[in-house]
Amino acid sequence: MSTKNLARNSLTNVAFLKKQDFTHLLKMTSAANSPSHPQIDLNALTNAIPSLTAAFCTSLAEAASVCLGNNDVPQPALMDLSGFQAKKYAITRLPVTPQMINTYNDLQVAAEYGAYGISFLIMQETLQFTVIEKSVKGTGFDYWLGDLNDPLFQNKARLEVSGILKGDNSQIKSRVKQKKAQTQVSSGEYPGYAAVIEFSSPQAVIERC
Amino acid sequence: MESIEEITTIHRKAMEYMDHSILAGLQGNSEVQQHSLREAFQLEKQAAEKVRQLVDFEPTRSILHRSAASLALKCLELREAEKLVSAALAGNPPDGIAGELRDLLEQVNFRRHLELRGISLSSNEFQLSLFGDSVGFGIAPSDQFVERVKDFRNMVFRTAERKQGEPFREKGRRRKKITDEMEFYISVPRAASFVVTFRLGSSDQLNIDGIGNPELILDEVFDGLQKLELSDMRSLKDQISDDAYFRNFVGLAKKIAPDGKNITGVGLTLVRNNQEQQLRINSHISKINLAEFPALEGGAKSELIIIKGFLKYADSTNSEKNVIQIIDENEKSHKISVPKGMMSDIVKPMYEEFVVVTGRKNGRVIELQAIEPDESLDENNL
Repeated sequence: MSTKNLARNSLTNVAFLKKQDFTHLLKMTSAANSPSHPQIDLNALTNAIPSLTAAFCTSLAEAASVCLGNNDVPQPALMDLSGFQAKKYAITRLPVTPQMINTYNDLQVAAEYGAYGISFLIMQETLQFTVIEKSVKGTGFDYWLGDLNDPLFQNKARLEVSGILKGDNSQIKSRVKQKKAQTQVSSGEYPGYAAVIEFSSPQAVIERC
Repeated sequence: MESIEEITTIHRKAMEYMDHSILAGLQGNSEVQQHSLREAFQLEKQAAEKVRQLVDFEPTRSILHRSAASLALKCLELREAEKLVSAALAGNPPDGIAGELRDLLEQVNFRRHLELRGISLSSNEFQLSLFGDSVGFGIAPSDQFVERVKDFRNMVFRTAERKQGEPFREKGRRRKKITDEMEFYISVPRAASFVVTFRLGSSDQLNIDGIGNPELILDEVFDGLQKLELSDMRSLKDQISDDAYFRNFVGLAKKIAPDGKNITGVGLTLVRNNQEQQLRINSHISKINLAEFPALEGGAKSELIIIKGFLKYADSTNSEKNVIQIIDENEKSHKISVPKGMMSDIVKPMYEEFVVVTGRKNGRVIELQAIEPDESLDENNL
């Protein structure tokens, strides 16, 4: 997050915000603070996935936090989930440090990694599915959800994830379509989920394929 | 054979190395990144080899092979990748994974075609490769090749004009100085898939007076195509802020991109700092429709319409208002306004052809968003 963006999150600098920005930000912040919304806390990601190293999970949480911070999203913020379930989450990010900004200076890459982190937490919260395995595929990974006691890659559901730093609905729809097409190649053989996370007005679209 | 638990342990260790590699890459430590990537590959290959005889242990067997082959490709171990994909396909992979394995094999093959194979390139040269069912060993259909060369040449000239700060030229010839100093030279084609070298400018000189540096123009084109390949339209718009140049670049890239049928891959190779830089342009670029990105165009979300018909009339006499007419199958004429950046390089080559037009309707005016040859007619004619 830039210095300017960090400053935006400080109440002392509220005067610099446009009126409509401030109203929107206030609405998102107060709604996210409501106790009725389930929480997605990126601080919890480090130790949330037993099959992945803590260092890797931390980096996913950092990447997601940088993307949210870059978009001036309040802390905590409301995030819509749609697709296989519809609900609203209050999402809490890590404090964004200059070192994190430096590490994730390629925000497209950060959006991809950040999307993985958020998707893992949502799949755990909604279906109690945990990422058990991953394998290398193309430029990234595909992740497999299921039970730790099953043999390697047996009885697992596949999770395809994509992140959009800042996009409109048509871009999100088009990305979901693309991810579903990738996942549906294997439909019938094992279940699959296609997840797209957008970071500017945070939303998650997760569809079962 | 070792137990599944042992294989699982090896695979998980491989994935840990892959995580190290990614983290090292993010921290800019390329030595650790490469070392960890190689360790991950060796371990994943071991895991794959240990399940190789278990032909019915699917999808585990094919997933491990695909994962190891993907790592081999990242390590540029093309032969290893080929062997791993072949071993996986020789078993009983599920249909979905089998499709992914075939895609991977195609990437391995295409990577071979992008290799320079002893050819040296100057900084103002690049290699163009075509790959696909209609491309033989050193031979390609002339229209598939010639049209792409024309489009690539236009893209380079337009980029040079943009970098010179010139407004988009809707008509008239380009400045002679640009034509002379950015002229395209082509080598004898080489057999691989179908590969040729192009040189930009008549010599190796780097700083051509008044025009700039051919190397920088090529880098600019390469960078833009890379962004399109990643579907990163927003960054591309940041790179090409002028609407006319932006539309023109995307339109030309769509024409250069493979059609996914006759041509499945178009590749570019440059050499920078003694390292080969390779870019594979995939067929999804040919499907990009700017109408799906209204925010980039700054336009309202007005109604999208699609018209199929014969491109009969093109009027560019008014530089502010280019117009075409499409005659549909019911002989009805549709007048369509063409925004800047599209008439000369994108629309004109399709004159008197059957086309599919995507437009935005604002009141009575339809504004062109995309125009493509009507491929359904080609299929019917087969």
